Amino acid sequence: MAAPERAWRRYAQLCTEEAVRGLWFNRRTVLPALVVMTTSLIVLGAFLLVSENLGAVLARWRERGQMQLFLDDAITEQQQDAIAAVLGESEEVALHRLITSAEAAELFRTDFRELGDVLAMLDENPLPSSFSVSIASQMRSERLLQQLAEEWGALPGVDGVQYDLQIIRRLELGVRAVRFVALLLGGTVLLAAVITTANVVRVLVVARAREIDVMRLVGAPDAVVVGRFLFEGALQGLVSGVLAVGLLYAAFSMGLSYVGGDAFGLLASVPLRFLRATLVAGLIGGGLATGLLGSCLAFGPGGGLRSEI
Amino acid sequence: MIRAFHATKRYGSITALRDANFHVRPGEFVFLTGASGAGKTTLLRLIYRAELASSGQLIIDGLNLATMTRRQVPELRRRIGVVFQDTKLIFDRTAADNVGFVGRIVGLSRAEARRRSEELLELVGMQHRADLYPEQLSGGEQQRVGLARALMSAPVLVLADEPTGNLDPDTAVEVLRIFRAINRRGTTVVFATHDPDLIAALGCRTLVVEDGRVRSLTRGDNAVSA
Repeated sequence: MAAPERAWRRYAQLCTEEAVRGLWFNRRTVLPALVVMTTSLIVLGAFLLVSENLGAVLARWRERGQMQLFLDDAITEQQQDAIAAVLGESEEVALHRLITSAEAAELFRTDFRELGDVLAMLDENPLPSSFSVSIASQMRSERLLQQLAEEWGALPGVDGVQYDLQIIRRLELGVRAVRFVALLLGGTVLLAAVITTANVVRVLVVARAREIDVMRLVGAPDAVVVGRFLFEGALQGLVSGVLAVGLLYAAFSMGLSYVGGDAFGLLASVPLRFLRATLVAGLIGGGLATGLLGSCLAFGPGGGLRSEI
Repeated sequence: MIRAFHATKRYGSITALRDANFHVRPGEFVFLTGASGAGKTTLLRLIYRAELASSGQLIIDGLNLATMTRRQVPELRRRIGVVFQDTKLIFDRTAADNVGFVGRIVGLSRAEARRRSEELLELVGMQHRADLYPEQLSGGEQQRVGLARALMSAPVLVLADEPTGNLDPDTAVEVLRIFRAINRRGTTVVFATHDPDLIAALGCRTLVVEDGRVRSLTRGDNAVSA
Protein backbone atom coordinates (compact mmCIF):
# COMPACT_ATOMS: atom_id res chain seq x y z
CA MET A 1 0.00 0.00 0.00
CA ALA A 2 1.21 3.53 -0.72
CA ALA A 3 2.95 5.65 1.92
CA PRO A 4 0.45 7.85 3.83
CA GLU A 5 1.53 11.20 2.34
CA ARG A 6 1.57 9.75 -1.15
CA ALA A 7 -1.80 8.13 -0.54
CA TRP A 8 -3.30 11.48 0.47
CA ARG A 9 -1.90 13.13 -2.63
CA ARG A 10 -3.52 10.39 -4.65
CA TYR A 11 -6.78 10.85 -2.76
CA ALA A 12 -6.70 14.55 -3.64
CA GLN A 13 -6.05 13.64 -7.27
CA LEU A 14 -8.87 11.09 -7.17
CA CYS A 15 -11.26 13.62 -5.63
CA THR A 16 -10.40 16.13 -8.36
CA GLU A 17 -10.87 13.60 -11.14
CA GLU A 18 -14.14 12.38 -9.64
CA ALA A 19 -15.33 15.97 -9.23
CA VAL A 20 -14.64 16.74 -12.91
CA ARG A 21 -16.32 13.50 -13.94
CA GLY A 22 -19.28 14.12 -11.63
CA LEU A 23 -19.74 17.64 -12.93
CA TRP A 24 -19.81 16.40 -16.50
CA PHE A 25 -22.04 13.38 -15.93
CA ASN A 26 -24.48 15.35 -13.77
CA ARG A 27 -24.41 18.54 -15.80
CA ARG A 28 -28.19 18.80 -15.90
CA THR A 29 -28.47 18.50 -12.14
CA VAL A 30 -25.61 20.89 -11.57
CA LEU A 31 -26.85 23.46 -14.10
CA PRO A 32 -29.17 25.41 -11.72
CA ALA A 33 -26.35 25.89 -9.22
CA LEU A 34 -23.99 26.96 -11.99
CA VAL A 35 -26.52 29.46 -13.35
CA VAL A 36 -27.30 30.96 -9.93
CA MET A 37 -23.65 31.16 -8.96
CA THR A 38 -22.54 32.60 -12.30
CA THR A 39 -25.35 35.18 -12.23
CA SER A 40 -24.48 36.27 -8.71
CA LEU A 41 -20.82 36.62 -9.59
CA ILE A 42 -21.71 38.59 -12.72
CA VAL A 43 -23.87 40.95 -10.64
CA LEU A 44 -21.08 41.38 -8.14
CA GLY A 45 -18.50 41.76 -10.90
CA ALA A 46 -20.60 44.35 -12.75
CA PHE A 47 -20.85 46.51 -9.67
CA LEU A 48 -17.15 46.13 -9.06
CA LEU A 49 -16.51 47.13 -12.66
CA VAL A 50 -18.59 50.29 -12.34
CA SER A 51 -17.05 51.07 -8.99
CA GLU A 52 -13.53 50.52 -10.33
CA ASN A 53 -14.03 52.84 -13.29
CA LEU A 54 -15.69 55.50 -11.18
CA GLY A 55 -12.74 55.18 -8.83
CA ALA A 56 -10.35 55.75 -11.73
CA VAL A 57 -12.28 58.87 -12.77
CA LEU A 58 -12.15 60.04 -9.21
CA ALA A 59 -8.41 59.55 -9.03
CA ARG A 60 -7.94 61.46 -12.27
CA TRP A 61 -10.10 64.34 -11.00
CA ARG A 62 -8.12 64.43 -7.79
CA GLU A 63 -4.92 64.71 -9.82
CA ARG A 64 -6.23 67.47 -12.08
CA GLY A 65 -7.21 70.21 -9.65
CA GLN A 66 -9.14 72.11 -12.31
CA MET A 67 -11.34 75.15 -11.83
CA GLN A 68 -13.66 76.71 -14.33
CA LEU A 69 -14.47 80.44 -14.12
CA PHE A 70 -17.57 81.07 -16.23
CA LEU A 71 -17.72 84.60 -17.58
CA ASP A 72 -20.71 86.87 -17.80
CA ASP A 73 -22.12 87.33 -21.33
CA ALA A 74 -21.86 91.08 -20.85
CA ILE A 75 -18.25 91.05 -19.67
CA THR A 76 -16.07 93.88 -20.93
CA GLU A 77 -12.60 93.49 -22.35
CA GLN A 78 -11.09 95.32 -19.35
CA GLN A 79 -12.86 93.01 -16.92
CA GLN A 80 -11.58 89.98 -18.85
CA ASP A 81 -8.01 91.35 -18.84
CA ALA A 82 -8.29 92.05 -15.12
CA ILE A 83 -9.36 88.47 -14.44
CA ALA A 84 -6.50 87.14 -16.58
CA ALA A 85 -4.09 89.38 -14.66
CA VAL A 86 -5.37 88.10 -11.29
CA LEU A 87 -4.96 84.50 -12.46
CA GLY A 88 -1.53 85.20 -13.96
CA GLU A 89 -0.24 86.72 -10.74
CA SER A 90 -1.71 84.10 -8.43
CA GLU A 91 0.92 81.66 -7.16
CA GLU A 92 -1.79 79.00 -6.74
CA VAL A 93 -2.39 78.94 -10.47
CA ALA A 94 -0.15 76.63 -12.52
CA LEU A 95 -1.86 77.33 -15.84
CA HIS A 96 -4.83 79.25 -17.09
CA ARG A 97 -6.46 79.50 -20.49
CA LEU A 98 -9.35 81.46 -21.91
CA ILE A 99 -11.95 79.34 -23.66
CA THR A 100 -14.17 81.50 -25.76
CA SER A 101 -17.82 80.79 -26.34
CA ALA A 102 -17.01 79.57 -29.88
CA GLU A 103 -14.23 77.28 -28.59
CA ALA A 104 -16.59 75.90 -25.95
CA ALA A 105 -19.11 75.09 -28.69
CA GLU A 106 -16.39 73.37 -30.73
CA LEU A 107 -15.30 71.32 -27.70
CA PHE A 108 -18.92 70.36 -27.09
CA ARG A 109 -19.28 69.21 -30.68
CA THR A 110 -16.09 67.14 -30.39
CA ASP A 111 -16.97 65.56 -27.09
CA PHE A 112 -20.67 65.02 -27.77
CA ARG A 113 -20.69 64.02 -31.43
CA GLU A 114 -24.29 62.78 -31.28
CA LEU A 115 -25.48 66.03 -29.69
CA GLY A 116 -23.49 68.33 -31.98
CA ASP A 117 -26.55 69.10 -34.10
CA VAL A 118 -28.44 70.42 -31.09
CA LEU A 119 -26.22 73.48 -30.98
CA ALA A 120 -26.82 74.13 -34.67
CA MET A 121 -30.56 74.13 -34.07
CA LEU A 122 -30.26 76.97 -31.55
CA ASP A 123 -30.34 80.60 -32.64
CA GLU A 124 -27.35 81.51 -30.52
CA ASN A 125 -24.55 79.65 -28.77
CA PRO A 126 -25.63 79.12 -25.15
CA LEU A 127 -22.16 78.13 -23.92
CA PRO A 128 -20.41 80.95 -22.04
CA SER A 129 -16.76 81.91 -22.30
CA SER A 130 -14.65 80.72 -19.39
CA PHE A 131 -11.19 80.57 -17.91
CA SER A 132 -9.92 77.03 -17.42
CA VAL A 133 -7.55 77.11 -14.45
CA SER A 134 -5.12 74.40 -13.31
CA ILE A 135 -4.24 74.74 -9.66
CA ALA A 136 -0.64 74.03 -8.71
CA SER A 137 -0.43 70.49 -7.31
CA GLN A 138 0.94 71.56 -3.92
CA MET A 139 -2.02 73.94 -3.48
CA ARG A 140 -4.89 71.49 -4.02
CA SER A 141 -6.54 71.55 -0.65
CA GLU A 142 -10.28 71.70 -0.41
CA ARG A 143 -10.17 74.75 1.86
CA LEU A 144 -7.93 76.71 -0.50
CA LEU A 145 -10.03 75.80 -3.52
CA GLN A 146 -13.14 76.96 -1.69
CA GLN A 147 -11.42 80.20 -0.74
CA LEU A 148 -10.23 80.79 -4.31
CA ALA A 149 -13.69 79.99 -5.67
CA GLU A 150 -15.23 82.60 -3.36
CA GLU A 151 -12.52 85.16 -4.14
CA TRP A 152 -12.61 84.71 -7.91
CA GLY A 153 -16.37 84.34 -7.97
CA ALA A 154 -16.60 87.90 -6.63
CA LEU A 155 -14.48 89.36 -9.46
CA PRO A 156 -16.43 91.60 -11.83
CA GLY A 157 -17.44 89.73 -15.00
CA VAL A 158 -17.34 86.29 -13.38
CA ASP A 159 -20.73 84.57 -13.52
CA GLY A 160 -19.83 81.46 -11.53
CA VAL A 161 -17.03 79.16 -10.47
CA GLN A 162 -17.01 75.41 -10.70
CA TYR A 163 -14.18 73.38 -9.33
CA ASP A 164 -13.32 69.69 -9.33
CA LEU A 165 -13.79 69.05 -5.62
CA GLN A 166 -17.51 69.51 -5.99
CA ILE A 167 -17.56 66.85 -8.69
CA ILE A 168 -15.15 64.69 -6.70
CA ARG A 169 -17.49 64.78 -3.73
CA ARG A 170 -20.39 63.74 -5.91
CA LEU A 171 -18.33 61.01 -7.49
CA GLU A 172 -17.15 59.77 -4.10
CA LEU A 173 -20.73 59.54 -3.00
CA GLY A 174 -21.58 57.63 -6.19
CA VAL A 175 -18.68 55.21 -5.75
CA ARG A 176 -19.66 54.58 -2.13
CA ALA A 177 -23.28 53.97 -3.16
CA VAL A 178 -22.22 51.55 -5.91
CA ARG A 179 -19.94 49.66 -3.50
CA PHE A 180 -22.68 49.45 -0.89
CA VAL A 181 -25.20 48.12 -3.42
CA ALA A 182 -22.57 45.67 -4.72
CA LEU A 183 -21.95 44.39 -1.22
CA LEU A 184 -25.64 44.12 -0.39
CA LEU A 185 -26.83 42.64 -3.67
CA GLY A 186 -23.72 40.54 -4.25
CA GLY A 187 -23.91 39.17 -0.71
CA THR A 188 -27.57 38.28 -1.09
CA VAL A 189 -27.17 36.50 -4.41
CA LEU A 190 -24.04 34.71 -3.23
CA LEU A 191 -25.96 33.47 -0.21
CA ALA A 192 -28.60 32.15 -2.60
CA ALA A 193 -25.81 30.49 -4.59
CA VAL A 194 -24.43 28.81 -1.45
CA ILE A 195 -27.87 27.41 -0.59
CA THR A 196 -28.47 26.25 -4.18
CA THR A 197 -25.08 24.51 -4.25
CA ALA A 198 -25.83 22.81 -0.93
CA ASN A 199 -29.13 21.50 -2.35
CA VAL A 200 -27.51 20.32 -5.57
CA VAL A 201 -24.83 18.47 -3.59
CA ARG A 202 -27.60 16.80 -1.56
CA VAL A 203 -29.25 15.65 -4.79
CA LEU A 204 -25.90 14.37 -6.11
CA VAL A 205 -25.26 12.39 -2.94
CA VAL A 206 -28.65 10.69 -3.18
CA ALA A 207 -28.15 10.06 -6.91
CA ARG A 208 -24.78 8.44 -6.24
CA ALA A 209 -25.80 6.32 -3.27
CA ARG A 210 -24.54 3.23 -5.08
CA GLU A 211 -21.08 4.69 -5.61
CA ILE A 212 -20.95 5.88 -2.03
CA ASP A 213 -21.94 2.39 -0.87
CA VAL A 214 -19.15 0.87 -2.92
CA MET A 215 -16.63 3.43 -1.67
CA ARG A 216 -17.52 2.69 1.94
CA LEU A 217 -17.48 -1.08 1.45
CA VAL A 218 -14.00 -1.09 -0.03
CA GLY A 219 -12.64 0.99 2.82
CA ALA A 220 -12.57 4.55 1.55
CA PRO A 221 -11.97 6.91 4.49
CA ASP A 222 -14.76 9.38 5.27
CA ALA A 223 -12.47 12.17 4.11
CA VAL A 224 -12.37 10.68 0.62
CA VAL A 225 -16.10 9.93 0.44
CA VAL A 226 -17.00 13.45 1.57
CA GLY A 227 -13.95 15.02 -0.08
CA ARG A 228 -15.06 14.27 -3.62
CA PHE A 229 -18.33 16.16 -3.03
CA LEU A 230 -16.48 19.09 -1.44
CA PHE A 231 -14.18 19.18 -4.46
CA GLU A 232 -17.22 19.02 -6.71
CA GLY A 233 -18.82 22.01 -5.00
CA ALA A 234 -15.55 23.92 -5.19
CA LEU A 235 -15.21 23.02 -8.85
CA GLN A 236 -18.75 24.23 -9.55
CA GLY A 237 -17.77 27.52 -7.96
CA LEU A 238 -14.54 27.71 -9.91
CA VAL A 239 -16.31 27.06 -13.21
CA SER A 240 -18.94 29.68 -12.29
CA GLY A 241 -16.21 32.18 -11.43
CA VAL A 242 -14.42 31.65 -14.75
CA LEU A 243 -17.73 31.78 -16.63
CA ALA A 244 -18.77 34.95 -14.84
CA VAL A 245 -15.47 36.69 -15.60
CA GLY A 246 -15.61 35.51 -19.22
CA LEU A 247 -19.20 36.69 -19.75
CA LEU A 248 -18.52 39.96 -17.95
CA TYR A 249 -15.50 40.56 -20.16
CA ALA A 250 -17.49 39.75 -23.29
CA ALA A 251 -20.27 42.14 -22.21
CA PHE A 252 -17.70 44.79 -21.31
CA SER A 253 -15.96 44.46 -24.69
CA MET A 254 -19.28 44.68 -26.52
CA GLY A 255 -20.33 47.67 -24.47
CA LEU A 256 -16.97 49.30 -25.09
CA SER A 257 -17.24 48.94 -28.84
CA TYR A 258 -20.76 50.40 -28.61
CA VAL A 259 -20.07 53.48 -26.46
CA GLY A 260 -16.40 53.85 -27.32
CA GLY A 261 -13.52 53.38 -24.93
CA ASP A 262 -13.73 56.85 -23.51
CA ALA A 263 -17.21 57.13 -22.06
CA PHE A 264 -15.93 59.08 -19.10
CA GLY A 265 -13.73 61.15 -21.35
CA LEU A 266 -15.95 64.15 -20.93
CA LEU A 267 -15.35 64.06 -17.23
CA ALA A 268 -11.71 63.23 -17.02
CA SER A 269 -10.41 61.54 -20.17
CA VAL A 270 -10.21 58.24 -18.31
CA PRO A 271 -10.45 55.25 -20.62
CA LEU A 272 -12.76 52.45 -19.44
CA ARG A 273 -10.86 49.49 -18.07
CA PHE A 274 -11.83 45.92 -17.19
CA LEU A 275 -11.34 44.63 -13.67
CA ARG A 276 -7.81 44.51 -12.25
CA ALA A 277 -6.15 41.07 -12.14
CA THR A 278 -6.52 40.92 -8.37
CA LEU A 279 -10.27 41.53 -8.63
CA VAL A 280 -10.59 38.92 -11.38
CA ALA A 281 -8.72 36.46 -9.16
CA GLY A 282 -10.92 37.52 -6.24
CA LEU A 283 -14.09 36.93 -8.25
CA ILE A 284 -12.94 33.46 -9.36
CA GLY A 285 -11.69 32.67 -5.85
CA GLY A 286 -15.00 33.92 -4.46
CA GLY A 287 -16.84 31.51 -6.76
CA LEU A 288 -14.65 28.66 -5.56
CA ALA A 289 -15.22 29.60 -1.92
CA THR A 290 -18.98 29.90 -2.51
CA GLY A 291 -19.12 26.40 -4.02
CA LEU A 292 -17.01 24.94 -1.25
CA LEU A 293 -19.14 26.65 1.37
CA GLY A 294 -22.29 25.23 -0.26
CA SER A 295 -20.86 21.71 -0.14
CA CYS A 296 -19.73 22.15 3.47
CA LEU A 297 -23.23 23.34 4.30
CA ALA A 298 -24.67 20.13 2.81
CA PHE A 299 -22.42 18.03 5.06
CA GLY A 300 -22.51 20.32 8.08
CA PRO A 301 -24.51 19.79 11.29
CA GLY A 302 -27.77 20.96 9.70
CA GLY A 303 -27.01 19.50 6.27
CA GLY A 304 -28.26 16.04 7.11
CA LEU A 305 -25.88 14.27 4.75
CA ARG A 306 -23.55 12.78 7.34
CA SER A 307 -25.90 9.85 7.80
CA GLU A 308 -26.00 9.23 4.03
CA ILE A 309 -22.23 9.06 3.97
CA MET B 1 -9.67 -15.41 10.46
CA ILE B 2 -13.21 -15.07 11.85
CA ARG B 3 -14.16 -15.78 15.46
CA ALA B 4 -17.67 -15.22 16.76
CA PHE B 5 -18.43 -15.34 20.50
CA HIS B 6 -22.09 -15.28 21.45
CA ALA B 7 -22.80 -12.82 18.65
CA THR B 8 -26.42 -11.70 18.71
CA LYS B 9 -28.21 -9.18 16.52
CA ARG B 10 -31.62 -7.81 17.39
CA TYR B 11 -33.84 -5.43 15.44
CA GLY B 12 -36.33 -4.24 18.02
CA SER B 13 -38.19 -7.31 19.20
CA ILE B 14 -36.89 -9.49 16.33
CA THR B 15 -33.69 -11.48 16.85
CA ALA B 16 -31.99 -11.97 13.49
CA LEU B 17 -28.90 -13.73 14.86
CA ARG B 18 -28.89 -15.63 18.14
CA ASP B 19 -25.82 -16.41 20.23
CA ALA B 20 -23.60 -17.32 17.26
CA ASN B 21 -20.35 -19.11 18.14
CA PHE B 22 -18.14 -20.24 15.28
CA HIS B 23 -14.76 -19.74 13.72
CA VAL B 24 -13.29 -19.76 10.23
CA ARG B 25 -9.60 -20.58 9.84
CA PRO B 26 -7.26 -18.57 7.61
CA GLY B 27 -7.27 -19.92 4.06
CA GLU B 28 -10.49 -21.88 4.59
CA PHE B 29 -13.40 -22.05 2.11
CA VAL B 30 -16.67 -22.06 4.02
CA PHE B 31 -20.22 -22.16 2.71
CA LEU B 32 -22.83 -20.19 4.57
CA THR B 33 -26.28 -21.56 3.96
CA GLY B 34 -29.81 -21.36 5.25
CA ALA B 35 -33.31 -20.49 4.09
CA SER B 36 -34.15 -16.98 2.94
CA GLY B 37 -34.48 -14.70 5.95
CA ALA B 38 -32.56 -17.10 8.19
CA GLY B 39 -29.91 -14.49 8.95
CA LYS B 40 -27.12 -15.15 6.40
CA THR B 41 -26.96 -11.57 5.17
CA THR B 42 -27.17 -10.24 8.73
CA LEU B 43 -24.17 -12.36 9.68
CA LEU B 44 -22.19 -11.14 6.67
CA ARG B 45 -23.12 -7.52 7.42
CA LEU B 46 -21.85 -8.01 10.97
CA ILE B 47 -18.56 -9.42 9.64
CA TYR B 48 -17.86 -6.44 7.35
CA ARG B 49 -19.20 -4.15 10.04
CA ALA B 50 -22.05 -2.65 8.12
CA GLU B 51 -23.79 -3.24 11.45
CA LEU B 52 -22.71 -3.88 15.01
CA ALA B 53 -23.73 -6.94 17.03
CA SER B 54 -26.25 -6.16 19.77
CA SER B 55 -24.21 -8.36 22.10
CA GLY B 56 -21.29 -10.75 21.89
CA GLN B 57 -18.10 -10.26 19.92
CA LEU B 58 -16.72 -10.80 16.44
CA ILE B 59 -12.99 -10.83 15.80
CA ILE B 60 -11.91 -10.54 12.18
CA ASP B 61 -8.26 -10.98 11.29
CA GLY B 62 -7.36 -10.01 14.84
CA LEU B 63 -9.58 -6.91 14.95
CA ASN B 64 -12.33 -6.83 17.56
CA LEU B 65 -15.32 -5.23 15.85
CA ALA B 66 -17.02 -4.33 19.13
CA THR B 67 -14.18 -2.11 20.32
CA MET B 68 -13.22 -0.76 16.89
CA THR B 69 -13.48 3.01 16.36
CA ARG B 70 -15.26 4.47 13.34
CA ARG B 71 -11.88 5.53 11.92
CA GLN B 72 -10.67 1.93 11.97
CA VAL B 73 -13.58 0.62 9.92
CA PRO B 74 -12.03 1.53 6.51
CA GLU B 75 -8.90 -0.38 7.55
CA LEU B 76 -11.00 -3.48 8.31
CA ARG B 77 -12.87 -3.19 5.04
CA ARG B 78 -9.66 -3.10 3.05
CA ARG B 79 -8.89 -6.52 4.44
CA ILE B 80 -12.29 -7.83 3.33
CA GLY B 81 -13.62 -8.13 -0.21
CA VAL B 82 -17.38 -8.31 -0.53
CA VAL B 83 -19.30 -9.73 -3.52
CA PHE B 84 -23.03 -9.09 -3.67
CA GLN B 85 -25.90 -10.92 -5.31
CA ASP B 86 -26.89 -7.68 -7.04
CA THR B 87 -23.19 -6.99 -7.86
CA LYS B 88 -23.41 -3.30 -6.86
CA LEU B 89 -21.46 -2.39 -9.98
CA ILE B 90 -21.54 1.27 -10.97
CA PHE B 91 -23.46 1.44 -14.22
CA ASP B 92 -21.77 4.43 -15.79
CA ARG B 93 -18.30 2.90 -15.49
CA THR B 94 -16.80 0.16 -17.60
CA ALA B 95 -15.81 -3.17 -16.07
CA ALA B 96 -12.18 -2.02 -15.91
CA ASP B 97 -13.20 1.29 -14.32
CA ASN B 98 -15.40 -0.44 -11.75
CA VAL B 99 -12.42 -2.51 -10.67
CA GLY B 100 -9.85 0.26 -11.05
CA PHE B 101 -11.97 2.75 -9.09
CA VAL B 102 -11.51 0.61 -5.98
CA GLY B 103 -7.77 0.60 -6.57
CA ARG B 104 -7.78 4.39 -6.61
CA ILE B 105 -9.81 4.45 -3.40
CA VAL B 106 -7.31 2.23 -1.63
CA GLY B 107 -4.53 4.61 -2.68
CA LEU B 108 -3.11 3.22 -5.92
CA SER B 109 -2.03 5.56 -8.70
CA ARG B 110 -4.11 5.60 -11.88
CA ALA B 111 -1.53 3.51 -13.75
CA GLU B 112 -1.19 1.01 -10.91
CA ALA B 113 -4.95 0.69 -10.56
CA ARG B 114 -5.30 0.15 -14.30
CA ARG B 115 -2.58 -2.50 -14.36
CA ARG B 116 -4.02 -4.31 -11.35
CA SER B 117 -7.55 -4.22 -12.73
CA GLU B 118 -6.28 -5.81 -15.94
CA GLU B 119 -4.62 -8.57 -13.92
CA LEU B 120 -7.73 -9.21 -11.87
CA LEU B 121 -10.04 -9.18 -14.87
CA GLU B 122 -7.74 -11.72 -16.47
CA LEU B 123 -7.86 -13.80 -13.27
CA VAL B 124 -11.66 -13.97 -13.48
CA GLY B 125 -11.60 -14.44 -17.27
CA MET B 126 -13.01 -11.03 -18.12
CA GLN B 127 -10.04 -9.31 -19.75
CA HIS B 128 -11.78 -9.33 -23.15
CA ARG B 129 -14.83 -7.51 -21.69
CA ALA B 130 -12.89 -4.86 -19.76
CA ASP B 131 -14.21 -1.91 -21.75
CA LEU B 132 -17.88 -2.88 -21.60
CA TYR B 133 -20.43 -1.34 -19.24
CA PRO B 134 -22.25 -3.55 -16.70
CA GLU B 135 -25.50 -3.48 -18.68
CA GLN B 136 -23.60 -4.94 -21.64
CA LEU B 137 -22.51 -7.92 -19.53
CA SER B 138 -24.41 -11.08 -18.61
CA GLY B 139 -25.24 -11.84 -14.96
CA GLY B 140 -22.34 -14.26 -14.64
CA GLU B 141 -19.94 -11.76 -16.19
CA GLN B 142 -21.14 -9.05 -13.82
CA GLN B 143 -20.49 -11.37 -10.89
CA ARG B 144 -16.98 -12.02 -12.13
CA VAL B 145 -16.33 -8.30 -12.41
CA GLY B 146 -17.76 -7.93 -8.89
CA LEU B 147 -15.29 -10.56 -7.70
CA ALA B 148 -12.39 -8.85 -9.46
CA ARG B 149 -13.42 -5.62 -7.73
CA ALA B 150 -13.57 -7.36 -4.35
CA LEU B 151 -10.01 -8.60 -4.87
CA MET B 152 -8.60 -5.20 -5.78
CA SER B 153 -7.54 -4.35 -2.24
CA ALA B 154 -5.80 -7.74 -1.92
CA PRO B 155 -8.14 -8.85 0.88
CA VAL B 156 -7.37 -11.69 3.27
CA LEU B 157 -11.07 -12.55 3.41
CA VAL B 158 -13.72 -12.59 0.67
CA LEU B 159 -17.40 -12.57 1.62
CA ALA B 160 -19.81 -13.56 -1.12
CA ASP B 161 -23.48 -12.88 -0.42
CA GLU B 162 -25.32 -15.31 -2.73
CA PRO B 163 -23.30 -14.36 -5.80
CA THR B 164 -24.83 -17.20 -7.80
CA GLY B 165 -28.40 -16.48 -6.71
CA ASN B 166 -29.39 -15.00 -10.09
CA LEU B 167 -27.32 -17.29 -12.30
CA ASP B 168 -28.15 -20.45 -14.23
CA PRO B 169 -26.60 -23.67 -12.81
CA ASP B 170 -23.72 -23.90 -15.31
CA THR B 171 -22.70 -20.28 -14.83
CA ALA B 172 -23.07 -20.66 -11.07
CA VAL B 173 -20.60 -23.59 -11.09
CA GLU B 174 -18.23 -21.58 -13.26
CA VAL B 175 -18.35 -18.64 -10.82
CA LEU B 176 -17.88 -21.00 -7.88
CA ARG B 177 -14.74 -22.41 -9.54
CA ILE B 178 -13.25 -18.94 -9.73
CA PHE B 179 -13.91 -18.42 -6.02
CA ARG B 180 -12.29 -21.76 -5.31
CA ALA B 181 -9.24 -20.77 -7.40
CA ILE B 182 -8.92 -17.58 -5.41
CA ASN B 183 -9.21 -19.55 -2.19
CA ARG B 184 -6.38 -21.84 -3.35
CA ARG B 185 -4.17 -18.74 -3.58
CA GLY B 186 -4.60 -18.35 0.18
CA THR B 187 -7.63 -16.06 0.52
CA THR B 188 -10.26 -17.11 3.03
CA VAL B 189 -13.71 -17.33 1.41
CA VAL B 190 -17.15 -17.30 3.01
CA PHE B 191 -19.64 -18.15 0.28
CA ALA B 192 -23.33 -17.69 1.09
CA THR B 193 -25.71 -19.82 -0.95
CA HIS B 194 -28.83 -21.90 -0.53
CA ASP B 195 -27.99 -24.12 -3.48
CA PRO B 196 -27.21 -27.64 -2.12
CA ASP B 197 -25.71 -28.70 -5.45
CA LEU B 198 -23.03 -26.05 -5.21
CA ILE B 199 -22.23 -27.05 -1.64
CA ALA B 200 -22.06 -30.69 -2.68
CA ALA B 201 -19.80 -29.81 -5.62
CA LEU B 202 -16.99 -28.64 -3.35
CA GLY B 203 -17.78 -30.49 -0.16
CA CYS B 204 -16.27 -27.83 2.07
CA ARG B 205 -17.32 -27.03 5.63
CA THR B 206 -20.72 -25.36 5.84
CA LEU B 207 -22.13 -22.92 8.35
CA VAL B 208 -25.88 -23.33 8.52
CA VAL B 209 -28.04 -20.47 9.75
CA GLU B 210 -31.45 -21.54 11.01
CA ASP B 211 -33.76 -19.18 12.86
CA GLY B 212 -30.79 -16.98 13.67
CA ARG B 213 -28.68 -19.84 15.09
CA VAL B 214 -25.42 -20.90 13.45
CA ARG B 215 -24.35 -24.54 13.22
CA SER B 216 -21.31 -25.97 11.55
CA LEU B 217 -21.56 -29.03 9.26
CA THR B 218 -18.57 -30.97 8.02
CA ARG B 219 -18.60 -33.36 5.07
CA GLY B 220 -20.54 -36.52 5.89
CA ASP B 221 -23.55 -34.62 7.19
CA ASN B 222 -22.39 -34.69 10.77
CA ALA B 223 -23.64 -31.68 12.58
CA VAL B 224 -21.01 -30.49 14.99
CA SER B 225 -20.76 -27.59 17.29
CA ALA B 226 -18.25 -25.14 15.86
